[in-house]
Amino acid sequence: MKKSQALKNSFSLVLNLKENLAMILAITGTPPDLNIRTIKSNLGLKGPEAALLFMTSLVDTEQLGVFVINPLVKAFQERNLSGNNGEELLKNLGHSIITSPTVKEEKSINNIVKMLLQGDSILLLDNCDTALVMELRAVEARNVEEPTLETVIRGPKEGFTERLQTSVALLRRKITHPGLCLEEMSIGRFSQTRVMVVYIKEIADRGLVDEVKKRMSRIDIDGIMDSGYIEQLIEDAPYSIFPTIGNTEKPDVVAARLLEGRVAVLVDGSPVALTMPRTFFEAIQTPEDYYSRSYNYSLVRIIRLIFLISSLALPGLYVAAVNHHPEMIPRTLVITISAAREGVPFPLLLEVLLFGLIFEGLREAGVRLPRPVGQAVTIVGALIIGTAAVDAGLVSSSTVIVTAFIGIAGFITPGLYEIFIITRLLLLFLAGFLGFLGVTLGLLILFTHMCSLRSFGTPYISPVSPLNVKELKDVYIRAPLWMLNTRPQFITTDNRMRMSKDQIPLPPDRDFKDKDNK
Amino acid sequence: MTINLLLPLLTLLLLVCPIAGCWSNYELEDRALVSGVGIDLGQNGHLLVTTQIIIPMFTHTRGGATGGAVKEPAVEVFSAEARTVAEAVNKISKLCGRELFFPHLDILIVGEELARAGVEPVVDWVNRDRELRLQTWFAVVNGTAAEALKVKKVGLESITIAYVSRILEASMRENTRALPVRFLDYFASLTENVDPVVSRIEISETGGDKMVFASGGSVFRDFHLVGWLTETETRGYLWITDQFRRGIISVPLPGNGYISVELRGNKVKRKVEFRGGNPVMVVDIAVKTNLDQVDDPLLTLENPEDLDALEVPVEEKIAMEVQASVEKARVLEADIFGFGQLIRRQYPKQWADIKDDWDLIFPTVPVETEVKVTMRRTEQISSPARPGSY
Amino acid sequence: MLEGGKISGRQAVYLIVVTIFPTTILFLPYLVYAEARQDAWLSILLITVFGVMIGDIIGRLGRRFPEQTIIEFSRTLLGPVTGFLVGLLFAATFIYINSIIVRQFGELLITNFIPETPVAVTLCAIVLTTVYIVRHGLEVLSRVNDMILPLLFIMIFIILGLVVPFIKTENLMPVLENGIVPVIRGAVPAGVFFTETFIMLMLVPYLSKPAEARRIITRSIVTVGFMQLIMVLAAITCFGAQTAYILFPALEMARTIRLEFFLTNVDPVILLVWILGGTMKISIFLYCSTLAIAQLLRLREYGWAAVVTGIITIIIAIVPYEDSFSLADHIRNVGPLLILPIQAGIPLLLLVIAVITGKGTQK
Repeated sequence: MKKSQALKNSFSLVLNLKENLAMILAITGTPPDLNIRTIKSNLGLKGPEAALLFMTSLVDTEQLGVFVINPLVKAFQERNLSGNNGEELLKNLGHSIITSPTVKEEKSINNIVKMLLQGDSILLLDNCDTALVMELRAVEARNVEEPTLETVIRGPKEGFTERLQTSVALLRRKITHPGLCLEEMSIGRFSQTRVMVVYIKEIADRGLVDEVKKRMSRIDIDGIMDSGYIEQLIEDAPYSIFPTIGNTEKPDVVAARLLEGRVAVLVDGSPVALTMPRTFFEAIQTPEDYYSRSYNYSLVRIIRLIFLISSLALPGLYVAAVNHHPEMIPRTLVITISAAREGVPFPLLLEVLLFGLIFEGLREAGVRLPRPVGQAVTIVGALIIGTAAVDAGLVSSSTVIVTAFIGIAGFITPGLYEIFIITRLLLLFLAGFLGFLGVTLGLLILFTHMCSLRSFGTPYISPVSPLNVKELKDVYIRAPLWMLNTRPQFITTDNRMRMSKDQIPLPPDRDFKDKDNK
Repeated sequence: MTINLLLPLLTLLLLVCPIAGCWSNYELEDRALVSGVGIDLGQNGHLLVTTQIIIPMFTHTRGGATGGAVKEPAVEVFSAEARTVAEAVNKISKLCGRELFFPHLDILIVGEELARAGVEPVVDWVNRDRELRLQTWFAVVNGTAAEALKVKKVGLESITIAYVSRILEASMRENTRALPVRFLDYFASLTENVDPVVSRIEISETGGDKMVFASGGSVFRDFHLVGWLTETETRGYLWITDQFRRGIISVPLPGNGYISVELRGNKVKRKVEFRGGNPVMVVDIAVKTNLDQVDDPLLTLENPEDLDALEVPVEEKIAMEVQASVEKARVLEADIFGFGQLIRRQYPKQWADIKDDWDLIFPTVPVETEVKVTMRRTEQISSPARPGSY
Repeated sequence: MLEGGKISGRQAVYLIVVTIFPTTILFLPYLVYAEARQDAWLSILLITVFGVMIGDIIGRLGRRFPEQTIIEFSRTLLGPVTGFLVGLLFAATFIYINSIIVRQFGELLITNFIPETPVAVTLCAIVLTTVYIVRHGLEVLSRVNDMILPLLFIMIFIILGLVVPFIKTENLMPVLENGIVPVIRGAVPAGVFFTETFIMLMLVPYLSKPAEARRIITRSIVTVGFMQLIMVLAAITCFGAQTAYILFPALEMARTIRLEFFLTNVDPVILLVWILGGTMKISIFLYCSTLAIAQLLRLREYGWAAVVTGIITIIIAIVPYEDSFSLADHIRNVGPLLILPIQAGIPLLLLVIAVITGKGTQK
């Protein structure tokens, strides 16, 4: 397999233009958007002959005209072509005639076809076994916009686009050091999708980079539609409900993660970049945490954690508390819940299940439907479910509140939303079965599962387990920036200092102030 | 790896499916929340158990047509007679059709007759049943507990017996009339060989309506009620046992006047001295007070000495209360203050000699009280207002 | 190699602490108080010293045989037949102790929290969970523990902080009322718990630095002893003579706490964290017994051995005891006599033999 591929790649151009064209057309067929523009000098048969191949659908024809066709035709007409053979002529053309910004030489027919289909223009010359490749692609991409999912109040608002070049540009603008390495691969038998593995040479663990590349090169699939395909084909725990690869649409997030020593993967056609390794607690970290001062966001971290736990365990705890251990609920609350439950036809477990189901249905409908309709669905749903069902005595109001709370909690950590739907169900059943014992055992199974996960060698819930007290400064709280002076130990082991130790801002000297006063 | 994850989850879930909703899983509406329990002596040595159960439903609506329904819990009282408390509780469950649920129990009241006969069955039940909390108030009523629980409406509470527990709760913070005792305190006394004192509830009748309120304390020897403490004696008891936190007392002045002072910041030291081989209790009480009210037209407060002069009657009043409680304890021959325990801790050797005869020795042990009152503030004004003082 | 994982010294300390702590915190104050009364805290000091001594023996054994578990080195030390028998004895002890812990744990849960659930179901649920943990191996086991032990400690400190207002220091008087004898008698039931460091006999080869075994054990015992001292002091000063009647002082303490307007009775929350700790303890014992059996039978992996061992544990936990009373009787009167000589005596014997025969790495 490998050998034949090598053979295919070595399949290269010959000296005869006609034969070359025939060979290319043999591979591509004659699609309607393949254009072959022949350029001849008016010297008759002896003069050089050239053929420009490009896909009208992919090439910016205006630029092609200005940068390539115009100068070429002019040159052919004015006969200021020099060169003893085709080879030299081609070089001259590339060096001094064609004004397109990129000019590459290529001999392999396979590569030529590949580039042609990716939108490059190919110039073939008679008596020459080399082709010139000019990249003048038509840019039809979305503008750089703010990602809809990861919105911030303070901080950069730009997001990646579907166009790989734009994404790379955004990233390059964040990190201009030459250490930023981009390694291109193309994946997908038919889609030939361009994929970039990005890392910072000085920081990222070599083994990690190699592992990422190894897993990527293993992929053999017909097409890559989104970075999600790649994620699912290289993740560590395919059977786990937990994702072990991070994703983001924000260049600043990718840049920050690269600076921590992680590796990112950018995929052409997808605005979502993958970052790895991923740890669980990334779910409660947002870029904004680092852009604002630390006190507020330390508090927010704790709030997120509380909601995260509620989102995971609240339905279970609710059922366990009400049905198994009402003694732990204060009397007034017990009376309220009890009064609300009076006359509800379903057992509590079923009630919570049903209502959770309805909530998820509403959410899904709201997401899928066109935005105006989606809103209508949400409003109708909220009104009917929230008010009518309670008034009719079908659901108790406390269950409505619990479900709504879980809904809010779920949206606080969007990355874990789908997971928690499943774990919540599990804990709910266990709670109905064994009360708090069930919830605890369920949590323990979940903990164990999480502890057994690794993402590219990093334990999934580090630094909480294995416990690394020093690294907790960026988990439960967000320590001041000058305290976050080391890279996380669980990601990179060498080159850990990210700033010098004395970065705590100091008040100015007295002299400074005196000067000011004078 | 896969099987590792799936095996226990599937097994657990398989276990769950057919049996969810069984065992300890009770829907809340199948439980009857008990707010108060009363236990009396019934006929033929049986126990009459009365429970006050909360009905968590709309009893009435306030607000009119626009809605604004207000949920008000009300109570229902059920009684049953059986040989043991547990059996009676079971009978009540059958009566009201729901499983009785005790953790939200506020108070357990024992009727006087049963208390005098001995509360052992109650104590064992409370200790053994997992649903009962040691934080439950423990009180004896000067009548039957059933009667106390059946009182229709008292105070501002819709759960009637919550009124009593609120008074006791308040007495924890401010000691004026009632003695707040939880089961925990009762057991602590019992296990430490101190004769326990528990709360006391009084039923009174005014104009055909029955009223309950908490007042004074009830003195036990082990499991048997032997007598009551009046409100004055209760305060004396609280002084000696260093439980007096805050409170207002009114003190007669020489002449015709009265003052009310607020007591707070107390320091009580208790120690034993052996004089000639006999134990003597010494109780040092230091109190800080604020002058809350003066009801004496002749009183003038102009210099510090005037204030100091007011300290003396307060000191006398406190000493009087302490002596009253000591007298009562002697009469009842109940070492409610834990003097025996005090001797055991400070003089283990001497205690070994006298512990067998302690019941006889206790009434003869002299109690010396030293009270030091410091008047700190006169609040907003100094002398009471009187006409023409300017 | 049966077990590929390695654990750090800190993780080993955590494992030992979680092995001893969850049970001592519940049962020890009551057991010790029954004998030593208000001097129970002295008993704890005494037993801590004893625990350190036994831990030293185990540490020394670990240093002599840094690459072998007791199952393996008893073969090197005593020859194949006797060695196998000693190994079998240890495997049986692990299973036996585990069965008692499981049953006790189940009984506590049933009497206090899920009164109508059958014993078998409760025990199955717990043991299945531990089987799941054990099958992931030692590394995951200790990582789970890394999450749970801090929770347990935080909970304990919260309880202790909240019971401070209830403390009456005079409950500690008089010191040594009846001499030193009750203090020693009180320390005896604690001995079983404080020698549970013998699990290290199975874990030493999997330490990243086996030479540290002694220090690890000493540190864990001192930690547990210190925490236990605080717990017992809190129980005595809080409940006084009542400690003798309260089976589970930590739980009762939790019940004493009333957080008004928030939670009236926080004990199910305490229970939740405590179950986590208790399950970890059971997991560790199940791990040791599974590993022991796998090594005895020279299995290549212990995944299914864990399942079988778990089932055996459940059976031994349920069948012999008719009721909770016979269990309590067994624990108080039979258990220590069986367990203590194995936990403390055999390691000492093995160490003596090793020193005499000069087997194992010197120094």
